[in-house]
Amino acid sequence: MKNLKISLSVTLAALLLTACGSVSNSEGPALTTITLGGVGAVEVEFEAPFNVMTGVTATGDNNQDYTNLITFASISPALNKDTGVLDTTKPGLLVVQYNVTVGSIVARQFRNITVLQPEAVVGEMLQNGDFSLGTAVWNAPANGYLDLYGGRFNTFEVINGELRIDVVASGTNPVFPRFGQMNIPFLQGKTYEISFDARSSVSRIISMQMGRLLPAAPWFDDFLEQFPMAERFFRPTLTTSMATYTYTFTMNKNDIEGGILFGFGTVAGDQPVNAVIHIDNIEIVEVSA
Amino acid sequence: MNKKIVILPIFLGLVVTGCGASSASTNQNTRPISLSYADWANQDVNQKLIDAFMAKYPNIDVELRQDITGTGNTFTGNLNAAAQAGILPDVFATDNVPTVIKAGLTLDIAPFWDEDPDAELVYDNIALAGVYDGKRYAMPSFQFLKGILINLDIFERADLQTEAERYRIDNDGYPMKDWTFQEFINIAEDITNFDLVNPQNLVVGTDLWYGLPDFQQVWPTMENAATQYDTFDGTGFNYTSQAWIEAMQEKVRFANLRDGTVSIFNEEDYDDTPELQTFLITSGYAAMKIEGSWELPRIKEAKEDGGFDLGFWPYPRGSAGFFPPTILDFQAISSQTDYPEEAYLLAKWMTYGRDGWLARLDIMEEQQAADIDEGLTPNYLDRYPTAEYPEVWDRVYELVEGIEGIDAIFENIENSKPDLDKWLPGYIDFWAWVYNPENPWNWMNLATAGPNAVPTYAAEWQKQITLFLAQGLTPAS
Repeated sequence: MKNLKISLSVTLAALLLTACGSVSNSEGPALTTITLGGVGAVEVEFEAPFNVMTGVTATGDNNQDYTNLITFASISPALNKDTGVLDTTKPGLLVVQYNVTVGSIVARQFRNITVLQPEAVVGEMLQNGDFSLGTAVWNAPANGYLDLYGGRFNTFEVINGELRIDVVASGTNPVFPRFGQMNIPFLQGKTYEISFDARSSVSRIISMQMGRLLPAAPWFDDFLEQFPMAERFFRPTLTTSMATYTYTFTMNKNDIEGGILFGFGTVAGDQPVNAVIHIDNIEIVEVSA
Repeated sequence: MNKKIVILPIFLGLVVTGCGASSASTNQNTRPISLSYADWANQDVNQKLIDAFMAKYPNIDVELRQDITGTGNTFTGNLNAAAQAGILPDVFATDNVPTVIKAGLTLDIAPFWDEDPDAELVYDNIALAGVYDGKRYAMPSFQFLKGILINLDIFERADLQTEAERYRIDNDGYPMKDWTFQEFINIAEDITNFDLVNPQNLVVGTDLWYGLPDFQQVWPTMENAATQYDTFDGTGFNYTSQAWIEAMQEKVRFANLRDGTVSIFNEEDYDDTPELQTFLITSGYAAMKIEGSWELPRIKEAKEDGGFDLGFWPYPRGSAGFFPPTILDFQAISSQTDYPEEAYLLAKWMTYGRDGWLARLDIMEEQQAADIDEGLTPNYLDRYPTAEYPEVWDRVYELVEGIEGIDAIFENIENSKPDLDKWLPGYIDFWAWVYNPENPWNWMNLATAGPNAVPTYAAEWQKQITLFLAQGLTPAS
């Protein structure tokens, strides 16, 4: 009977401490909070080694070190979920959540980690046109429209040195889904030749535009706005064989923030065409008018 | 023995009172809590709203998630990935409520909503959205207005006069703001000047809703006060009703016009006329356009770039009166959240709640003042409350001041009838079926067959929408 009473008391005491947000330790002060360290936002150089667990600590207010209990989670495919090693050849922002749980005491912290773009190659208007740096510099698929209107890319990755995009063109617009590169310095009066190699699993038209994406309506500053709509696009028909396509245009103003966009939406007015498309060796060079 | 009996209640009492029961309405719990939040709206505004929330609830820390990006399927895919990693945001926006329900991502918030005095002020038609079998898996966040952008300069030049049995024109030369469907149609026909030889005179009657008229979804809502969007009555659709058939027949007729009354053109005309290849309402060639309030920046664009004025007129009305058509956005609370009450507080703050709206207006007014200080034309507020908060609405009006016509929409906003696209199970699937080229009853075939074929197609579409609806979750009635 005495043992039962002791057991009841211990159980109740444990219940009290746990439920009220502290964990007792017979050898020291009670734990009430855990502080995560080394989890501030960080920028990582392109291709630099980085492990998301390096330098991260967890310390209790009871002076105990709980670093070995830290777990992490992220939705980024660039992060090895077992080792914490980050693939830093994929520029952009990823978010990691660190978590430590000791009894009822939980510490959680999100951390923004930005893998920087590679340094621009001086003298080249377009960066990483041969995709030797993976998808770096090429902006993430700019499919900022509802799927109903815009379609999507199921795949957007570099395989065997070529960009592969699996296009689901479920939308109603010729330019969505799309990808491209901005911040290309185009100068007024200069003539530029844009070329690229491409093939498609099924023969289909794509739509290339020159202009600058805007954050609000009208959303796009078309560098060819002086021409009829039909002439503002370069619309080659890709075939199943790799071929080189070339387009020349003369810039109507100075703009260093615009660029080129490749659109994979509807063709011939309203027909969506799904396809696996490979693109390589995109180049922009200034030529004589 | 008596002591032992007394000790147990004391211990249990300590356990309960020492930890403090939390309350969604008062949030008296002061334990430190971490939440995360994701939506695709302006992130600067989101962060400012979150900062204001954390100032009001100092024990709640909110992380604005940077990893749940994109819109549409991309955004939903990121939510799914986050759920699998165990880091689903506690509160998130969604444009496809059925999908996130089926994926198990959402919490039933009815216990909080049903006790929330602010929720009682949500307009009746809007409060129906997001409820399935008595469970509320999402909350309507904002309503966007659907109306008619009007080129005021074109109307002034056209100098239309009231014609008995056709249309009424006000003293400024504009359509009456209580205009009817038939007046809209007649005005579109009469104001058209499809002069492709002298494009400086070109006037296209009306631009459409994503390329087509939307009559059958909206018109029946104005013919019967109880009829919701696209004839939805809470349990099913009524495509064989006279109102739906007549609206669809007019839609089919419009879709076959090639005379400039609507923005659908012969290929030859289109290719040969650069003016037709522009965004007609901002290039100044369309007299009207069916549009959502998220495009209100076009008014500013037209003024600054084209030097002409656009107004935003109420959608035309029918025999039962005016029920403004609106488009809803939604937010949900994570099924994985450890803090459902606090997550509800946050979701409410970011969406329909009174306090959140007041904070949002502070931010918008500050932004507008800053724009004015810099000599810029400020942007208009493009989304609106879903509830009856007079002090909020008074300030909303200030943020759209100067838009001719919009006041007439707000006068009836408590009767708005929202769309179904983002929340009704099976509805998007049905429309994919309608546009499927392999479906013999598809839209393209109906348009080719003409208005007389509408009753036959209506019967087939009725069968199909009933099937799609039956496969989904049961909506509230």
